[in-house]
Amino acid sequence: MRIGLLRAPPQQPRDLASFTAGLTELGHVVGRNLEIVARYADGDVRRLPELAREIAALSPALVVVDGEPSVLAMAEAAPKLPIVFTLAGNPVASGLALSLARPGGNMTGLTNISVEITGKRLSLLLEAVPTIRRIAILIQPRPGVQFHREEIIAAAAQLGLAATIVEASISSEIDPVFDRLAAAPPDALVTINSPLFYGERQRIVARANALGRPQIYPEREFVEAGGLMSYGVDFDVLWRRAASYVDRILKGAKPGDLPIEQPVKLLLSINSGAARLLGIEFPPGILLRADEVIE
Amino acid sequence: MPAPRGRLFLKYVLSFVGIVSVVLLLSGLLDGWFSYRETRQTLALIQHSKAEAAAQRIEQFILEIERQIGWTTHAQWAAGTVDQRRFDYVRLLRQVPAITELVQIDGQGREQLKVSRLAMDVVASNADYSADPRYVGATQQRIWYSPVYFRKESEPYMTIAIARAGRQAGVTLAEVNLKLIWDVVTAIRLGQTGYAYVLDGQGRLIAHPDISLVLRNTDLSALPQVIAARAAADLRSPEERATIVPALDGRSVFSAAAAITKLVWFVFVETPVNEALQPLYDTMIRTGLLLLLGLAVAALGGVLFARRMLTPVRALAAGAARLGTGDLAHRIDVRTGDELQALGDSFNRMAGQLQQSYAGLEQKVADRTAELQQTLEYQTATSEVLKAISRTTFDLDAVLTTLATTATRLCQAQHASMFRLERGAYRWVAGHGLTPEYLALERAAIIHPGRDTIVGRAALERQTVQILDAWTDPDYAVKDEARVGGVRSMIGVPLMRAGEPIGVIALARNAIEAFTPKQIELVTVFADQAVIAMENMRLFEEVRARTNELAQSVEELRALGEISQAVNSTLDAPTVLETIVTKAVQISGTSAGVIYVYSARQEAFRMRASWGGDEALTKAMRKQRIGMDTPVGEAARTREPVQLPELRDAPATPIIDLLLAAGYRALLIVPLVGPERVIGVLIIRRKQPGLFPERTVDLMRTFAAQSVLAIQNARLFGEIEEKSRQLQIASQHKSQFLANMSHELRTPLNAVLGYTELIADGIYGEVPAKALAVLERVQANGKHLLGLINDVLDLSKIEAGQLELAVDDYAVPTVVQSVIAATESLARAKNLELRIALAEGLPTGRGDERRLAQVLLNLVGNAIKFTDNGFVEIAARLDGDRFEIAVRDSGPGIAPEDQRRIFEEFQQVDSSNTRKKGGTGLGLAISRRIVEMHGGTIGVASALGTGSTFTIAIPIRVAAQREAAQ
Repeated sequence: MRIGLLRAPPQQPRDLASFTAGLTELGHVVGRNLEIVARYADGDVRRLPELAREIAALSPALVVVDGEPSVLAMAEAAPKLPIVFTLAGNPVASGLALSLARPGGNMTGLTNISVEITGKRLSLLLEAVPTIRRIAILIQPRPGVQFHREEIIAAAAQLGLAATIVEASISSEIDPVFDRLAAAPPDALVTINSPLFYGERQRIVARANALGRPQIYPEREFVEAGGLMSYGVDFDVLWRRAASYVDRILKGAKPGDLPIEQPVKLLLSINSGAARLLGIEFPPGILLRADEVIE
Repeated sequence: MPAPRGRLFLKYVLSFVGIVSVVLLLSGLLDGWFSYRETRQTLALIQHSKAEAAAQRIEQFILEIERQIGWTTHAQWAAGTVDQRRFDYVRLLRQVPAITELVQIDGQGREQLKVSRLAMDVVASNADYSADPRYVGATQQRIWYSPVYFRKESEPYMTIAIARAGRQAGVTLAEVNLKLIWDVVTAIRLGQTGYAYVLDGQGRLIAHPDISLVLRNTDLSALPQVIAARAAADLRSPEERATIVPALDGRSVFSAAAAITKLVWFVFVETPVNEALQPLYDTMIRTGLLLLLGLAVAALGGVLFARRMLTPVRALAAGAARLGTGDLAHRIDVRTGDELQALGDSFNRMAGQLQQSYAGLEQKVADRTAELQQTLEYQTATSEVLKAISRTTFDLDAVLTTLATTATRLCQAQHASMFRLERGAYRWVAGHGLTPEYLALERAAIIHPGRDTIVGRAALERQTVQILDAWTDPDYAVKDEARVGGVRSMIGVPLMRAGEPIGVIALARNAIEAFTPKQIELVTVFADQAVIAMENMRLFEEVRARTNELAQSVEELRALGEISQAVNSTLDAPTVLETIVTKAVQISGTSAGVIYVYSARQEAFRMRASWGGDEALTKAMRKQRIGMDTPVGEAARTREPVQLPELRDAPATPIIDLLLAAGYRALLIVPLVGPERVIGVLIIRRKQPGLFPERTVDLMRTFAAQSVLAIQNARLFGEIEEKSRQLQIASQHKSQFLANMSHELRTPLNAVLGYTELIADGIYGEVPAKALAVLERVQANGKHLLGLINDVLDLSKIEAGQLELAVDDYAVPTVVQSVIAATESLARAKNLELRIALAEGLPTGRGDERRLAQVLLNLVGNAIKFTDNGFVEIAARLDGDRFEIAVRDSGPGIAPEDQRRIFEEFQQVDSSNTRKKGGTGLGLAISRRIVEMHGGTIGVASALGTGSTFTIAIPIRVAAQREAAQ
């Protein structure tokens, strides 16, 4: 059985490991009865349509994709092909599903409700560093990103923060963005889920830390990379769950009948090293909430 | 009808298997049923308890949440700082992942704090909850559970509202993500594929291992088990608590429910029927296997049993079949020790009894056969006797002997005797097996009715009598004779005719052994046969007497006829008289007879013929002179027959003395009366005295008349014959003379011819030509004279009866060839063609070849002689049993009036030609005689000018010489 995997960020060994582990648990062993045709856009969402066509040309049983850009590219390349997605936003809101309970169409999957918890993420940052008044929001322009944008702007407003949005679409645009931020550094940096950023998280964390400003990210990998904190879904769990969708679709379930799952668990990850570097002391509430503290 | 072989076997096996399988099946079914019920009950209880356990775990899950929340519900907790309370709430979130949001409401129903995982925390928003059912419910009930609701229409949530202790202490609201019950639900292990799920009071799915079902906000209120659970809660009996129902996916499941009363939730545990009832199925499979095993064992047992049953049954059947075919000696060997053996024994007993019965029957049949055989033997014997009787009707002794012989044999007696009533007494007539001494005694016995003998006793009693032992029988008188004959037991059977015993059959044994009724019956039958034979004999004798009389009459007539014939045919008087006297004696039944003829010259009767009596007596009688003064003379004088019934009483004469001496006692003298006088007498005599019957006398008269006629005829004939005899002697003398003469003539003639020839040959010197011519004439005339003499000699020889044929085998062609050879030169001299026409394949003849050649030579010689030109042909062919030899010529022919004459002596066709040709005129006569002596004929066919054909026909084989016709 052949399935496709289309991802916008560069390859993430850990995600893939979780995914394949989930598949193996369900009896789909890569190399034995399963072939995964994986294509990675390395953060450049403009490459996705081409990669989607490549995958479609190989006629997989289904394609597992991440994020709206990939979904859209894949759906365009092979409209009939079942798609399992791992979305950051609300698929109902973005029009990819009729409802969470019954998505309809030929796609389903999981949402990491990253958009929904954008306000919460921002409030956690504020709770950690209550002095923040101005934030810079780093956005990679891409399909679906507008929900994030709207959400975070609303949340910032609700928290009384001044938000500046900076954008980088491609890798080469990141440094100039930080260069500009360096000129007038904000009190904190917030990133929106982005395959580009996710792939460039080392650089981003380094540049952010270089700014000496606290940051919060949607993915804990940033914290692992030295970022201050993150609040979001556990991707291990997410990809494991994605495997169950693959399994059920391969066993004949219609994607439209499979409800879209929301994560139960959200992880608050903090990096004590980064805190020290930035001269920040996490308050007890954050520490209590933190699901993991990375040195 | 075909034997239904093997059916019983099949039946046994099938019934055995059938019974066992039915029992097994019933037992299996009952067992299965009860096991099923029991197992189901047990399973139901287990399932139900599992449901209870699951419910408890779910409830525990909720209770744990309550408990966790509980410590934020102390009365003084609300008095803490915001940060403190918030901290506690965060900690609560941290500890209870299912809680998504916590809200603190104060005693006035105002929101004081709200901590969420998803949303920003809110402090003192003072949102009004006072009318909120959550708040109201919690304040009234302390703990209040909201109905389950689905966030974003997908995720099940419930609000737990707990009022804090103390008056107006406020309420804590916790939003619980029920999705986490999934962990609990999936942790509940129900066998391999069993599962548990939770429904709220409305039947909506709260938790299910398939999370997507929950997320889909599935309403299961229509499921029967849900309806049942919602309707009856705990009222159901244990087995009803677990039912088999179709699950969501359509599979049959074994479902049990337990209610969480507090939440009005229902926890269902369902196990696919296949799995739930697996033990039951196992049991059933076990039962099935056992059933199959049972069936196999039953089949095996059935086969063994059937074989065990069938072996004796087949043995019985085979045995019965053998018994049926008659092999009664066969015994069925069945040792099963049961009813079959009993049956086999019954068969054997039956066969034994049958065998006995058969044996008895066979004995009876044998007895009966023997009896029949005896009867048959008796009947055969009887029939043989009858045959003997019919065959030997004229021999009563033979018949009676046969009867006696057969009776002796069949009755196992030693001897048998037949006695016949003759002249008032019973005399022995036939017998068998008697010793010579005893036979002599029996032959001499003259028995009268009486008890002293067996014969007399049978005649007296007129029925069969038996004497068991002749030696001891008190009445039996002839014991000595019995001892001689070795007679002990004996029977006498009277021969009854018209109620009178005309004889007796007596059988005797030389041992004491009574005659059986059957034997007596047989002898009685024989006695009847003897009577019939005797009767037949008597009747036959009567018939014979009549026949004899008739025959005598016929004989007399015949004798008379013969005499008449003799008288008419024979003129020899002695022969006739001899015949008459012979017949007279024969017809009259007397001993001898004689005919005397009266000689007037001697005045005495002279014996002329006699028959019977010995030569000496006849000779002696011939010498006796019988004058007229004798009884013979008396008969002659009176012309009437005279009888001398007793010679002893007659006056003694020498001849009567002779007769008496020879034993003769009576005489009948019948005169031979001629027309004018008595010629003689016919006398017949016999050795019995007594008068001769009138019949005889009359007959003798007739004979006498015939004798007279014969004597007269004989006299006349005698005279004629005397004359012709004298003539014949004269003729013989003539022939003898001729023969002698011819011989005497021939001798000097030969001398004349011989010397003439010598002279002509010049032996005695030269003969002058004139003299030679004369000599030739002498020679020619001499030769003619010699031929004449030869012919005369031949003829005379023939007439004198001196010519005899030398009969031998001959071949016609040889004869013809010899004739041709002799006449060829003559024919050539006259330039005549001599032809021969012999038929093919003529057989060898038998006759006098030389004489036949002489005949042919004569005929051919004549033909050549009288034919001047043309041909002479000799033809021979077979005509039936004769040779026909024809000599044909082209000569002048013979006139019809001459044709008969030419075959007589000294006859020639009188013509100039004849004289010119010469000849004795004896040739054809001699030829005729020779042919006739061969039994053939000779003839001529001719007409003047057409030539002649002389034909002789002679038998191929001449048996003997015939006397040539005169």
